[in-house]
Amino acid sequence: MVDLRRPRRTSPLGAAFEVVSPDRVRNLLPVAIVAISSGRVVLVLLIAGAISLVAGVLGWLRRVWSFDGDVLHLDEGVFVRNQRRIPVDRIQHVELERSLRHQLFGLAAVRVETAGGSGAELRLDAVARDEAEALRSQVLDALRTKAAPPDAALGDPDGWDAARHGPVPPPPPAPREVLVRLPPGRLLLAGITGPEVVAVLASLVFALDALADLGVDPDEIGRVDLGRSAIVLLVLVGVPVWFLVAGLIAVVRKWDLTASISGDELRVTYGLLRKQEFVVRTSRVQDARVAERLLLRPFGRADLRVRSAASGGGDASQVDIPLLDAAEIDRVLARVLPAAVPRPRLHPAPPAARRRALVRGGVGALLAATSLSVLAVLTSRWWLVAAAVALVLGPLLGELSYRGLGWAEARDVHHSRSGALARRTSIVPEARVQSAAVVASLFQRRRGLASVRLDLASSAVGVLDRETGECGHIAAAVTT
Amino acid sequence: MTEPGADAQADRGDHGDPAEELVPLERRVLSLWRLRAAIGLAVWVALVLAAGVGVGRVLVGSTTALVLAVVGGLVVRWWTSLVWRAWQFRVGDGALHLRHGVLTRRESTIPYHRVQHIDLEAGPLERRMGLTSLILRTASASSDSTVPGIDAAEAEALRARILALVGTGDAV
Repeated sequence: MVDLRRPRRTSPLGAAFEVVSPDRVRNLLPVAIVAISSGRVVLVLLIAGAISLVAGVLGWLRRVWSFDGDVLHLDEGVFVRNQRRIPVDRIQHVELERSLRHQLFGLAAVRVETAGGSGAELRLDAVARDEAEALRSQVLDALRTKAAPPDAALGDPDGWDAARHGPVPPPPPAPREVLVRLPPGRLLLAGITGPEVVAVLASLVFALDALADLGVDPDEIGRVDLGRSAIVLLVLVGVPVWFLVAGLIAVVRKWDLTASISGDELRVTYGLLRKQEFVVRTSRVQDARVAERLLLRPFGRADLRVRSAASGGGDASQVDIPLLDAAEIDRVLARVLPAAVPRPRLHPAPPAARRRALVRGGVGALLAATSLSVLAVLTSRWWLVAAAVALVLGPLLGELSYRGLGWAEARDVHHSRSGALARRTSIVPEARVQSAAVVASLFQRRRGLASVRLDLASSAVGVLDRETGECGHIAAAVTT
Repeated sequence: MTEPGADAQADRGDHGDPAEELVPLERRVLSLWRLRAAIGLAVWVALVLAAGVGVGRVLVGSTTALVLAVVGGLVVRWWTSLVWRAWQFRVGDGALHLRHGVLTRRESTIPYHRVQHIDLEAGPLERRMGLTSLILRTASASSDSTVPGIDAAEAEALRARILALVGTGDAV
């Protein structure tokens, strides 16, 4: 048995691999260009090659690893030295990879992964094959003897069981239950109020641009005297057509959008021409987000997004279900984050937050109005109207953004809302918070306010503009 | 533990209970930050000087460079000491607590049971000064969990202590 407690380097061939690694060769490209343009090809390439060789050898000399049964050690770096320590409990996978060059020399590349989205946490490019296999088996042994039961919090039975006992036979498929199925009418509505509208407008602009390329001067179109009624007609016909196209695009793309659940797998499928499928594991769900679109908020319709953590080095995944009513959102949430329903009534932000929002809106409005007034002096008086509008809109937006703020905690799940026009409510279980930070800018501190940032494996969620003391309590609650 | 700096501790006890045991960074970090800033400033001064020579106005160039060096030096000195005073941390029983930031104050809490792995990182300047950065990596990319500039020997002891506390499970 190979004793991995003794710190060791990777195979000397690792240094050679490093010198000819794709990264380094790519770095040599600009050097090659310099070499060719300066005319001293051999000299420059020799120097660059020597530097690359020295860097590769030094990098290899500095890279030392060991495994003591509890912690995996890796020290590396020539200038900036990094000493990484990975507790064996955190290891999700140990993977060996043997490409042709490895097979030729009896080597293996080792990838060790922990949770989180950043891929391999430790990578050794050239390790003698027996050492690599010893590392893998000793890590698995350590995990087995630690005998940590794969409890509910860890949420990746696959990764763990595969790591410990080899592949498990797949369980019999659980019956699939349809939670939501969107009729075409609702997809049309989603398209008319969604990002498709902007996309269609953008392609219209693009089409006009293409016309100009064909020799049709867009100004020429404008110069043709259409007459007032023709313009009105164009608007009356063109705008509905524009929105209809956007809606139809959504209907085709999201055709038969169905959210269903089977076992712990939430699946969303849709598409007429291109069928798409998105899956999250309910046991790994990190957070959910309810986004209320500006126009549809009065009708109680909102989009639901459910995100899960990365599993085994893959990207974090998410599913989106548009235009659900409150009952449908609760139905899905009850399956993916049971503690989140019934959703609590949110507490408004403190009065100081309103004053802050109004000041922010007011200052923004003043800045906009000032620059618009300058524009008015320089060009047309009509900009003054725009300046007046900005002066009214700024504080109004401030007030709306204050009203958008809200937070509540129920059954260890935090609900945090923000947004002036479109509102987003993030739903975060305390058990998923990795770390938390109370952040207070100078302006917030002057009003006794702060925000809390909840760091999740999927991304970060903010609880904005609460009283400083309350923020402290939230941060303490989520990190214990 | 690092020894508490008297001036930084004095006026920070007003933020509730965790504040009591917060300790400042090593005083040496201040020198490190100033040295780094000075190197950056020196590059700018050299550029201004070179530009002055380049356009044939050596006097204007060197005067600007002098002003830049003096004003920049004073600003760097003042700002780095503000940053240093604002920086405090505590290696608690269950979590690492950080408090830092001059204009925007941040108070971060990183529970050990969320830690995926731990890095100690030191560049050439840091090594010369016997300092190192302690970084707790969690599954979240946005975690604010770097303690810059702890005494190198101290950092290894802290790491061992935290590693013993990280617990089991995959922590996501």
